[in-house]
Amino acid sequence: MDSTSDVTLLRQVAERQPQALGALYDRYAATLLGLGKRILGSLPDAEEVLQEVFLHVWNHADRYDAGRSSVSTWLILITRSRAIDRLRTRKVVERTHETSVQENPPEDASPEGVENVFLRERRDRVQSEMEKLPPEQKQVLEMAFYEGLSQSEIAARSDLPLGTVKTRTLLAMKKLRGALRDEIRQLL
Amino acid sequence: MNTDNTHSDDLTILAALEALERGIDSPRGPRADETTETLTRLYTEVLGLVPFETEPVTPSAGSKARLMALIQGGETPPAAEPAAAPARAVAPAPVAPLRPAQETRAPRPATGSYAVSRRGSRWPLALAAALALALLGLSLWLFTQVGTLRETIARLEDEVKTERARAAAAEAEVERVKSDSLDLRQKFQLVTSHAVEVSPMRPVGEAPLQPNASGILFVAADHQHWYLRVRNLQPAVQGKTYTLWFETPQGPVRSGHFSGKTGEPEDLSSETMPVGTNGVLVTLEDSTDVAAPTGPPVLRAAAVYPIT
Repeated sequence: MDSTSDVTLLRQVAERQPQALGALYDRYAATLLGLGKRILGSLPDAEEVLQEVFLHVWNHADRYDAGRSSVSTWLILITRSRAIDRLRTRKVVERTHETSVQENPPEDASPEGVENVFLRERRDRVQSEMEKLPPEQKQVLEMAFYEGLSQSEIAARSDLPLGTVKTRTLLAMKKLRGALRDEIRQLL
Repeated sequence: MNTDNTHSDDLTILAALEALERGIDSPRGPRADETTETLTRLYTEVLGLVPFETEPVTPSAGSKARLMALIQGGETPPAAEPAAAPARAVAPAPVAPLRPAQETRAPRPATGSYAVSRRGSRWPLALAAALALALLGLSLWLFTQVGTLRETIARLEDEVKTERARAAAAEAEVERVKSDSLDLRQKFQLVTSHAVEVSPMRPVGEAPLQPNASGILFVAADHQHWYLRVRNLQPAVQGKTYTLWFETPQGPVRSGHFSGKTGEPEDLSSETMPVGTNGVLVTLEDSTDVAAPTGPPVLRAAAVYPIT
């Protein structure tokens, strides 16, 4: 894992340097694939989304706006958007992870192989803070993020007043913002 | 944090959530103030951290190789998406060799794989376009049909109006015939009733105004119902009118007026007759509202013949 910053790598991608895209892939593919699999519930589908995301990055790296988000957030939100689009527009055929693993063994089964220490620490912190959230707040946040549901849709599905859903979402976001202040500062 | 700041915070969070649906690549909206921009950025980053709770999944073997082959071998900007800016489209990177044959799974053909992916994302658009075209065609056809139906309805309405007018005219004609028939029946009953009196009307004087004119007056037994028919009376000149007078001991009583018709008899009738009528006279008057005869006499009842 090299130490080149995400922004530098993305700038190199915009200059059509494939190795820069490869470096970004090495850095974030596992995180993005985990996100895709969480949304789609299917590893093959998540892998296709991952390919689409990095092709999008290759072709549209110049669209990245450093004023709006960090590179990792940009990649995550593109992945989320693509995965939810796929989830909405077609039925995901359930395929077992085991079959896929047997046919296509991972290049490296160890997360350490694709993640640097920095990302692992970030993951630990986020997991810890998410676990601290009250279950009802965590639930609405996850429904919004992983299922792409609007506040009204969450209210309808949970049989809760819209105001309650909004309050829970706002509380969850504020708590995370406070608890993950250091992580956010690193991203800015 | 005061109430205003909390409210602003809440709005920013909700805006950040809504922005998720538009996509991080979507064009940026109008610039907000610095505080709002900073808050939005903060909450965008919070959202970007959320998936770190999910366990990472290592991509399958060959995944990265396929990606690199795609961008190096068959790399062409998507047709439907804008190409990279010329300044950034520097010389193409050298084509990297594909993974060796012993790789667990051979990479899919670059362009094919990408094309399949793109087809997968395009078919809803194609379907939507086809549906839109079909709806447009249907709309045009319905619009034409509506126009034709409107013309047909307008034509049928005109026909209905014409037929209604004809029916109304026929109805009026029937009523007129009925009325005439009733009138004729009453006159017939009068002239054929028991003890009817008949008075022939003759031109007056040695040099009569209308020498060929004549008339006949029928008076019922009740001396109230009467019927007068005048023949060969020339139409009155402009401004003149023929006036019928019943002569009584109290003086003449005006009982009707007419103008005369060429070649047609003139009929007059009534259910009342002045009491003590002892003579009948037709004069030519300058006005219809004279109180006593002033014009020259034209016809006068010559005698009374009771018919039993």
